Amino acid sequence: MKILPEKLPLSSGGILLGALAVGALIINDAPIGLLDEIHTLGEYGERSLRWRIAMPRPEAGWELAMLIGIIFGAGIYALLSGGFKREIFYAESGTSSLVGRTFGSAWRGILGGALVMVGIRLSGDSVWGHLAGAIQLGTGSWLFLIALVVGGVFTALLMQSSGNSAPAAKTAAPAKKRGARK
Amino acid sequence: MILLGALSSDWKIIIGAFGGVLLGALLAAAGLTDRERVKAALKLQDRALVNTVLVLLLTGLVLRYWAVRLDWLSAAALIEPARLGSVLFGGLLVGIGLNLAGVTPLSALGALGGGRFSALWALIGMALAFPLLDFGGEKLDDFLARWDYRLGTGRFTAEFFSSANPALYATIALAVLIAILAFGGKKN
Repeated sequence: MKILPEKLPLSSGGILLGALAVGALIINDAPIGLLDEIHTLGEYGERSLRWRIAMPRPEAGWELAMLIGIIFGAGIYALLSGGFKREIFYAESGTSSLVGRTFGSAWRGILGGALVMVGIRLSGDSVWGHLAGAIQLGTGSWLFLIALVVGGVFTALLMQSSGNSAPAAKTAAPAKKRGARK
Repeated sequence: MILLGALSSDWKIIIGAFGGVLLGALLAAAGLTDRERVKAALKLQDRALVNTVLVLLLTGLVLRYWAVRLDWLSAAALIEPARLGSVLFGGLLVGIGLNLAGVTPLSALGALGGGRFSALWALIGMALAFPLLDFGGEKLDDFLARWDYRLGTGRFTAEFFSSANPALYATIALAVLIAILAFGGKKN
């Protein structure tokens, strides 16, 4: 089923996301980063598993509803645009054995996810929250976004030059073609 | 303006769920839940995704300006207080992590909804960060509270809107640059 386009034309996704961020600011009078809810869920899981004690369940509030809504929203869009893609392993984890692909995906995902969460905790808000903060001209949010780009681009180029992400470079085919035409 | 805080908890949950569905759909439509595209953007190979984020910021700045001018939004709306070292180090860590995992907490949920179960690896990593934070988080907070430089929160003031403010011209120049980047030339 393909009712919606898989990719929105031009940068209209940015326009709609910007409007949504400001709409959220208007109704909440503060950026909606959802970091508090993510922390509550993370700490609930961690303490329940680590100390094996029955922790009081996190309250079912609007923030939890929003987190669950994100899963459904993206799922609905993917189904309606024909972009639903079942993927268990990362592309760059290779096509070797199941164990190799599992290990290749697991270390990248787990290490990357942990770094993202520690970085978010240090900087005081999620990436979405910092985008909303940057819209409000928050100095910290702009510095966070600049540091994110510097850190991300530097690591990506470093990994590319060391050949670590060679299979993933296949995704960059359009850029290479463009260069070849010149 | 209607503030979320003034609504009953049932309405808050309904609005939260609706907002989440909208955010999830837009994140998927903009390609921000696609790990390969995020990684390609970090390698400076997917210009469309970079444009989307720049247009998001530009649209947000313009709409926020008008929301304040029309009194829909308080100029003093809360901005999370930040510290220089924390945001810089945190941003670097998120950048490095994003390059490996390709998702942030919210986009990981969106990716999961779109069938990319590989986002579970990143979500497991995010969950595993909590014991680490639980172990050293408090000491780190104390250290940062003592030594880190506290940043201003930034406000739209009357001076900002004055024609004597060079930032206004810089903003216009930036807007033109983003428009050229976003809508000019070939798209990926």
